[in-house]
Amino acid sequence: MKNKFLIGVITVFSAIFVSILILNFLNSSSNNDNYFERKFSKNEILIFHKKYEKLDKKSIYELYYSNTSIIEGSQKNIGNNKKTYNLNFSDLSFSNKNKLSINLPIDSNVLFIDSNWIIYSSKSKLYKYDIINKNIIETKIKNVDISFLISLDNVSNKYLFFGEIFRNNSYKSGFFILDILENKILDSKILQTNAKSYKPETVVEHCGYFQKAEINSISYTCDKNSKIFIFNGKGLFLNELNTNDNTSLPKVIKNANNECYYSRAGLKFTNAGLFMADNNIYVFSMASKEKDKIIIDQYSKLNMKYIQSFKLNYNNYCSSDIVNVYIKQDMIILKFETNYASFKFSRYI
Amino acid sequence: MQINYYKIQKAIAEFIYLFIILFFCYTAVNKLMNLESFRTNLVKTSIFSIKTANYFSYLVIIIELFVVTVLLFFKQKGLLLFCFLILIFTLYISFLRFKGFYEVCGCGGILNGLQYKYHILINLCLIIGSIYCYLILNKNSDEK
Repeated sequence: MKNKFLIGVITVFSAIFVSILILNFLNSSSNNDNYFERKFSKNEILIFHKKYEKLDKKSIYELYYSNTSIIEGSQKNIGNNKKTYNLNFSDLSFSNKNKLSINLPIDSNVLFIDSNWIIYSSKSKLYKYDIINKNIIETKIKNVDISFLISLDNVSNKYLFFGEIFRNNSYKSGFFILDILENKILDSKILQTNAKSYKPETVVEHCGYFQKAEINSISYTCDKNSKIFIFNGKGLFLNELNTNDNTSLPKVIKNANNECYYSRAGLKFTNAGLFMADNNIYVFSMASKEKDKIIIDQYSKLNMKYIQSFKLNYNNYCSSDIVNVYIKQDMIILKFETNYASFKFSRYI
Repeated sequence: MQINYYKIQKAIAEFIYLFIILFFCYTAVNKLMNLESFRTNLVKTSIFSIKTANYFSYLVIIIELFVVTVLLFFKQKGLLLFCFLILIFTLYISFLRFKGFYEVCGCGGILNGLQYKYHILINLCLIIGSIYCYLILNKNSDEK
């Protein structure tokens, strides 16, 4: 009787174990349907220059985006409705390093940091923290919900942001230019206009990051659909690139609290950032089966058409390992989970 | 001096047994404390609707606590049940990965955010650990 029971148990366990093995050794085709046929160039587009360690080995990466500085940081609740932000700064040469600790309200959402300012929102209000003089300025900006923000070239009071504004009895979501000094918001590229707020859905669908792509160019790369929005240095919308992976918007689902998330079914990762040079856009693409090479797709800036692709061998990383892309004159700095690496664009060599 | 290998094996098995109980208590309590987060993780897989995720979240916690109870009172049956559950759970996350629905672990506590390869490794250790524990304790009861 005991033997019969044991044989039954072993049979069931073995059947499950074999099923697990089969599922782990088979590759699902459902993950791959945003891969596309590429024309690979034999030339190297980026040449490795130098590796840089994290500013603080203990720090946890947070995506505090800055277009002029490397920022690492972590946050910790300290009670009294406050939280501490411990930040490590460096310029793009990794020569001038600095540390800063500041206490902000617990509901604060840091949107942008550079060596002079921290822009954050709290209770639907927008604040500017002066790092040097250590004072907080409350802006007069109202009816605005900002998700991602980047400063405009050489203007400390003007920003380009992705979010939603309420104007003329309707909600507009998309890209806007914010002038904190003049208390003005100008449209740059509207994606949706609705009678009720559509911001949570828009943010999930167009989740991505701003980046200074070259002098006088800012890009916003979506990482779960194939859109890349390109703006000039003043924040004005110029063009939209749909990369060849042709990935549609991710499906948005809501939980019981009406909070929005992307559904994992059909979710595809697309692009991890870009750089521009010589009227070309070079996109770090995650839509590739190559998991030990960084894939860079080249598109023409003039007609937005695909030209060719390049493979970059570095530490067996692929584009999905890229956390951020910084441009410093002739240098492209890639931020990975545990370190940074700088590369020279081959034209400059 | 002769080393009593069986005593060492039994001590290891007892340690694994206690660890398994604590492990399931920990994950069950964590899920209960962060029920909304657990449900959201279920909904995000696209396999469960909001309503199904609500029922299923309770079912998982009840099953975990039931296994802990069985483990406390019927060691060997409890270990087999635990092993069976971890196998089923591994099959579930393997299916999620196969379909491209796996993102990070939503088990709760320190396991939250675990990458797939580490999750598989932990599950494998738990399966091997529970089988080892069962065999050693079974050997003991057979000898008695």
